[in-house]
Amino acid sequence: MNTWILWSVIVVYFALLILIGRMGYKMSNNLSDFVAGNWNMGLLLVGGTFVATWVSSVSIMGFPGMLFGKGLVALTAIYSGFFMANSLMPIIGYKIRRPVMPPATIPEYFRLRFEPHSKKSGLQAIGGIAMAIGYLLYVMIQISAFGYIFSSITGLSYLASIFIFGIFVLYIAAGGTLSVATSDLFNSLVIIVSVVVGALIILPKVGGWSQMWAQYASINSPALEGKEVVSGSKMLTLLGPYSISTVIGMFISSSLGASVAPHWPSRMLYARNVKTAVALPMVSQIIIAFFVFGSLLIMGVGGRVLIGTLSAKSTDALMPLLFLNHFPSILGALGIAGLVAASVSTTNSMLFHGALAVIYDVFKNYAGKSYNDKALERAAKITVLAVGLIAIVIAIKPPEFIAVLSAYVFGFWGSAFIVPVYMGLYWKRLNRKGAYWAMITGPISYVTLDLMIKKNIISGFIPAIVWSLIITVSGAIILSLVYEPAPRECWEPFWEPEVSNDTEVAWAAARKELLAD
Amino acid sequence: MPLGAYVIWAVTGLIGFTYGIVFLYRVEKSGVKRWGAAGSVFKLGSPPNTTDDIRK
Repeated sequence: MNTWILWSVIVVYFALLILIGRMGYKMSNNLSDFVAGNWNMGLLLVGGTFVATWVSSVSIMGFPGMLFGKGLVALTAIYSGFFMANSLMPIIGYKIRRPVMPPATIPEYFRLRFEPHSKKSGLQAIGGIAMAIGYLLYVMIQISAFGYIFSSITGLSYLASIFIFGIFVLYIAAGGTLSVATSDLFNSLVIIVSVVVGALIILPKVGGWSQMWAQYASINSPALEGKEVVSGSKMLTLLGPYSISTVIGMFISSSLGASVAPHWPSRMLYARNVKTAVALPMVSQIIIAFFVFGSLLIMGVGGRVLIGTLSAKSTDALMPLLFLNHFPSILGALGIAGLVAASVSTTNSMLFHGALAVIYDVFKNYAGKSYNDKALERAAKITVLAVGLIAIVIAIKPPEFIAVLSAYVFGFWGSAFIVPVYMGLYWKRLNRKGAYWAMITGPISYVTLDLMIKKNIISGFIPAIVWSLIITVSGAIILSLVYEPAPRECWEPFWEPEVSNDTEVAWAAARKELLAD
Repeated sequence: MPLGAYVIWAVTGLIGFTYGIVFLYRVEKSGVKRWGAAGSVFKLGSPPNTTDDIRK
């Protein structure tokens, strides 16, 4: 790969990223714009941010890398769960976007749906803290992963790589929802073009679709030098090395659990109306599950046929190596830009959501006094910068426990949020006590039981997430039937197009900062 | 690629369209313009009332 071409493409990419992110800054005129795009984003813009946030460096390198090293199980047992998450999201979009003034954040949804009369909402705070911790962990992992890859591709030091990455991510995230969304639309285009072009180059090199699979099935060499051989026939099994109960657990975590990871329902809140919120995951699914992941499938499987055995520490190195060594310079550089775009787009969204959770869902919720628009927006930007800098500093030498903890984040969110989101949107009677039960016992039971299964204290036949769902759902139902149902002000905006005066007053009182000049 | 993989990929990728289209139809049938009812199931509709309208 010609180094000049590589650096030229990367510089042009970052320059365009700043220009386009700047457009988002200019579109943002008030707190509602900053926090939620004024709940008025059309399908193109909100779809762009959906796709770009979805396709992270974990997907764009991890999926082909897993296909390269472990086989089809990457699709059938792991990523199929995430595709199912997209498929579940219209169920959320159909209800959550109904209010005339929707919640600005998912924790605020918990407040308005279950305790709109509370001066300080414990549910909003729990949701905000869970989000802040989860996103901080993810941002650190993304920064660190990018640092290693960018430094190996460009020759820059790891430190320089993470600081360059951090600066651009901070700039975009500090611009708010519209800055994140406009830059994500650009990043989506870069990702889609880079992987589709990548697949179109690889496929003829391996003799076409049928020939590629025939060669994949006859593989008899290790994926990495010095490692054990996994035969082609094993690479084609649907479960791979996992038991059926492990796969079911992973599927439930990835599908139900990921569908309530707060950045997804948030994007449905940003949509301009209910129909756009429903159409959003459907249209994005075509792009993600078929165009993007279809292309990544060809690159992973085709890459294995083409390369055979990688001289690298991990199969995650496949995509950078393919782009650097097997593509014409300009197209390879475009591919590298796609990897960068995937990292930047996911990280800036997660940083923004994590920082917003701190300032809006925790601090403002418990501050006990009113703040005007401008003061809150300024505080949100400062929080983005502060959280981002903390993440960058820790990513310089990330402690090992971060990777361990991050594996629990999706399951943690899922066990806490599945009941208040799904049951809250479809069962009027689900009350405050039921929501508190789910949000507290869900994560505790999930983490405890998962550890017990890993240490063989209990059988793993029923996965931890399933146990957690049993505990949270049954407790929420019992508490909602035994105690008083949720008052009308809690559920009415998610059911009725026109709401009563009491509901309007309750929600307006809970939301007054967003209406202040 | 084994048939099972195609089936899993297609089902998980496309099942959302079944009830998604039903939801779009229900919004259209409700006639609520703010939700996106716009004369056709696949027409997404104009912007809703938001903070600007509430401020007026």
